[in-house]
Amino acid sequence: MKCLKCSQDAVIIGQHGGLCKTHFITYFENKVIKTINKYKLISREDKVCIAASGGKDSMTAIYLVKKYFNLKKLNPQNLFVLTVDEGIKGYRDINIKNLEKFCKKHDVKLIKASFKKEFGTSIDKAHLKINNQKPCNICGTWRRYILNKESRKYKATKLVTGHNLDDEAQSTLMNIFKANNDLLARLGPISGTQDHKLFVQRIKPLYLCLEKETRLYTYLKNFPIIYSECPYSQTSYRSDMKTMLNNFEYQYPGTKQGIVKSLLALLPLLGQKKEVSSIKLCQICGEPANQPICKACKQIDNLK
Amino acid sequence: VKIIFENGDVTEIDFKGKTVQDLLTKIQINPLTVLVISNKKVLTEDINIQKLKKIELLGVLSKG
Repeated sequence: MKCLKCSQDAVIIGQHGGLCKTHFITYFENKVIKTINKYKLISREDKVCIAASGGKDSMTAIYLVKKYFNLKKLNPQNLFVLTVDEGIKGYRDINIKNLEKFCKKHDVKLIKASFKKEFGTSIDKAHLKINNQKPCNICGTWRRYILNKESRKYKATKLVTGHNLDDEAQSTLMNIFKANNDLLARLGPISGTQDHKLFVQRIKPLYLCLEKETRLYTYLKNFPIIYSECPYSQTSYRSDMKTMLNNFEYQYPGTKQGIVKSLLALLPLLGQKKEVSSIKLCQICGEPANQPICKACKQIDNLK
Repeated sequence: VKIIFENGDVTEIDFKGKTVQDLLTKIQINPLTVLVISNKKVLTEDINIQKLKKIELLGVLSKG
């Protein structure tokens, strides 16, 4: 198939036709910039922290948010990258080295945090002590905890995550299937609790990008990404949802977009901020929590 | 045709179809989950690959 805008060979076939390398890159970058503008994700006064693992989504977020800063002539001092070393030998350490090189090349400050520094242990050690929990549950909770705490420490007003359209469609259906209406209400291009001073607002510039588009973009841009698999990765509810949605999308193109469009239409009705008043401070660490003791502290206690 | 996976695994299959789409159907891979590459060029599903001796499949989905 030829590109619908020129005579070059297409590198992707979308719902409306094919796009060549040049036109796909332009389309993809414009989509991210438009998402930032449309949902007012970044303002001139914001200090922006990008949460990065070194994978395709976060590398793309770093590159394009930096590009947005240049485009809008925003203060480059108000942009930094934060990575969390979970302590997974042979996996995260390699990705972090790669991330260091990428940030240096693109002149973005990188801050490194770790489970070891914050919680005194690593996933490699902690997973040996947990009997009834998947390592991914602990890893996710601890990572979100550190990202919020550290980004706040460095005065960030926005925390960029690499969540894409696929992630959002999966989360939407997962929350509906499990009747997690409070969690459903927290989704959207600006997620999290918006008005609490201890929470840094999370934003998703890749919100409207399909996972395949992001992978293609990183390939065409030749980003140095190591596509290895986390040794603790296992079949999960999300991975089953991912497979189901990809099968559906293949059979009925536009399914993922349809789900996210419906979510966006429903969000105002779901009462995004109703849970703000129920936020407490953890009695152990003082971080915001839904319960008297936050989930991270409970998990740490279980390891003792 | 020889198929090279991202993790270095190589498999050779007897392919009698015409296109990338035919090949992915034969090996039961959803086109949304891979990029199909030949000589560093990205191939769309409609491309005729009858004359190609090897192709590379790059995974799309996060595994973290």
